[in-house]
Amino acid sequence: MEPVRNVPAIEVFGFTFAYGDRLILGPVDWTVKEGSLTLLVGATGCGKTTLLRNMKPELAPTGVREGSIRVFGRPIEELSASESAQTIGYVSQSPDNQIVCDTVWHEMAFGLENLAIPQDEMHRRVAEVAHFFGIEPWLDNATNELSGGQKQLLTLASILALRPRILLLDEPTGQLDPVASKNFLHALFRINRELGLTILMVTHEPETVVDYATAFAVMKDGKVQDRDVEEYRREVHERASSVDFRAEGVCAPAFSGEDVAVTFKDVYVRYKRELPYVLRGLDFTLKKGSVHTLVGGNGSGKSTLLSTMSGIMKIDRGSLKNLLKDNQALLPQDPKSLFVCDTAAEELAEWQKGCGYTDEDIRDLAKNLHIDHVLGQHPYDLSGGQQQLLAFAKIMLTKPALLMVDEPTKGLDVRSKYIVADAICRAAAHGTTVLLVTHDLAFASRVADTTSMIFDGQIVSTEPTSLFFAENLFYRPVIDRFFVTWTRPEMESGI
Amino acid sequence: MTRTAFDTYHPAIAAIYLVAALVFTMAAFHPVFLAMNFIMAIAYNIFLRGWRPALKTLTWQLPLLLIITLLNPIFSQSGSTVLFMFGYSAFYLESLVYGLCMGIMLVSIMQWFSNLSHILTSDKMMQLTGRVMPTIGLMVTMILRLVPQFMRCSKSIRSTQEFCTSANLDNQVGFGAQGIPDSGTSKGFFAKRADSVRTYLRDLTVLMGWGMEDSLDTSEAMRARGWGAAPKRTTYQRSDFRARDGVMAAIMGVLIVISTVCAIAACTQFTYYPELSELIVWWGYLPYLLFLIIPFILEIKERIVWSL
Repeated sequence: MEPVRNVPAIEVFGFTFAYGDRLILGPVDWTVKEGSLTLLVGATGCGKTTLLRNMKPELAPTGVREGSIRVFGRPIEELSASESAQTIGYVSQSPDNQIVCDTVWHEMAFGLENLAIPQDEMHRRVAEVAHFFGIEPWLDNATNELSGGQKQLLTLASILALRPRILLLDEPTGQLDPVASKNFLHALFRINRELGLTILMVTHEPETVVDYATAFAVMKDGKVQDRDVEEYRREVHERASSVDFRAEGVCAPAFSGEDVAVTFKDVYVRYKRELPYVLRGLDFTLKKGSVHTLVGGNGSGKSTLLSTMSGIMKIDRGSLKNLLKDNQALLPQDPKSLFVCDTAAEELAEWQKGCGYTDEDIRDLAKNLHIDHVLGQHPYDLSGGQQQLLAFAKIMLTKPALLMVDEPTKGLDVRSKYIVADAICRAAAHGTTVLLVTHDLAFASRVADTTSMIFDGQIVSTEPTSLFFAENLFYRPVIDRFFVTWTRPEMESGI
Repeated sequence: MTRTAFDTYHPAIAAIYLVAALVFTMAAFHPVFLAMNFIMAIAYNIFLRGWRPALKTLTWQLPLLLIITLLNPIFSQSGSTVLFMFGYSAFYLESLVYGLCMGIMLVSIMQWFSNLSHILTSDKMMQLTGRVMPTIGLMVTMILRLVPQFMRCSKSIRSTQEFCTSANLDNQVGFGAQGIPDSGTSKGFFAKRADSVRTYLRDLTVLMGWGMEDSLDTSEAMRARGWGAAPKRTTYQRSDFRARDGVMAAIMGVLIVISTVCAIAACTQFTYYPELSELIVWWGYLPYLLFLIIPFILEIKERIVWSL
């Protein structure tokens, strides 16, 4: 069944958006058809999120708007709060701030309570949606104890309980592991085809959803252009078959040295005495000068391993030897943890005195990472990808001997990923030991020389990267543009 | 979280019981009533929290009880039986007993509040307040969510800065040597103190900023899902007050009324000053005892039903 009808769901007419006199967007002229699953891609910080948020009246940022956005023929300003909730649903990249209530059932019922839906109908709707997403087993759990994948599913489910006709998603799988991400996308696919919901999704990884998509658009220089989805799909498939993901192309030779930087021996870690162990008898060795990747599911203990290694988490049992602990740096999962200043420029200059890097170093790195034009802004006002780059720059300026990075590529476009990968490889060439935690397998497979998988609180395998990925069923890199560009720079020129 | 037998009833039952227990603790100022209450409150606390945590709490509550007991005779020198003289001031037995009873009452109140927090969990509170005050109920659950989130953020900012050792924080202006061993820094004691105060103030500012940003996101997410769309919200949770809840409420009500009458009788008959009244064996203590062991009866019943 082809659910796409030739009826517009969202129409954007000559829409521009500016903060003061700084034009962010536009003019955008664009139509999203009813029943379609439309992908929107574009560079980091190009205004995708701004456009998406402008389509939901409650989330529209403050600024100067011109032109109009219509939903099913009506200007969005005309929608009442209750109509808006029942017409447009919005899922953002980070599920944490979207969850309002403390238990799963209450979160699912929250929107329905707001709309004063009668109790019996409310129960039926929650039951139906919870069943569809398999939420029933954890319906009584506390929301802050859920894994990242569960949180994102819950967000989607609680919006679907409101029965919107359009779903807007802003990089919804950014924080999910490869398996959870596939499950989430499949759920989207089903609600698009089975329920006929119109879905508009902003993404940096169109390769993973292109098989489900019915329309494809690119945002460039503040304008949106439709592309033929069939053609794009062919392109993606061709690209995937053109490169063997087992191909060499990693930046450092496998198992470079024999010197050990960090050793974990039979380490047990937990967050509270009453809680179960997160790391259970974990053994792990990090070789000096290697670029080591850690992969594993949401909630498997990857980030805990990083904070244990850096000394933030205390170990209960076992021993941990970190020879580089006096010259280490950790880029945490939430880059906001690193921001303490009022502007991005101050942020980069913060550690200048202790580390002795020059103003020129700051300028060069900022330029290289393409954040030089936003240095005057408050770190919180940057886009998600720009915050990620700023935090990365702040850490890299200190030239650590041990670099620990948690999900460095989330929210980044191909070009930024390339620059981050390049920076990591350069640092490694200068002797920096790198431990990388990531869900981005394409990135991991190109940058790391060694890969470990963490499961059930233990390291279950450590292998040279190419060998690791050759053996896996599900943990395989997606052959995306980054992968191809890194492996064969001559094939792609458009970055 | 321990499951209690109260979970099988409507939350109102637990609420009635706990409020009654607290009121009795505070109002029935009679040695026998207080003693029964004290023992049962601690016993129930041990049941709910386990031996170790319950005894750990008692390690500071019992000394507190002792201090109150001993302080009362010092400040209130009344009574008729002199225990001993300390300089010109006398220690009276009556005053000591009164202090002991006061101490017991205070500790019992704390124990009951601890029991309350284990029985009336946030979702039960919600169910109780949700219908009457939906907005306040929602506010409570949001705060329950926000507080741990805030603590996590604070810890994360602190530790990220502290363990970024490549940044050489020891040499930075405005940063103290938070937890990092001092090696070769020549800063004086006061300079370091001033630095660490500055650091904490800045962390606080950052945390406030982050918290504000997050709460803006949350409030947007709420409005995006129709917050304020309808003049009166409905609630998801059904208030299922069933027949067995009614029976339980009735039984408790009867026991509460009889115990109240007995407690009033006992309290008016008993005096602490100038001379302690004699305590006698009396049937009137039984209804109160029965009231106090209701939770245990329910627990035992629950286990028998389960094992059948």
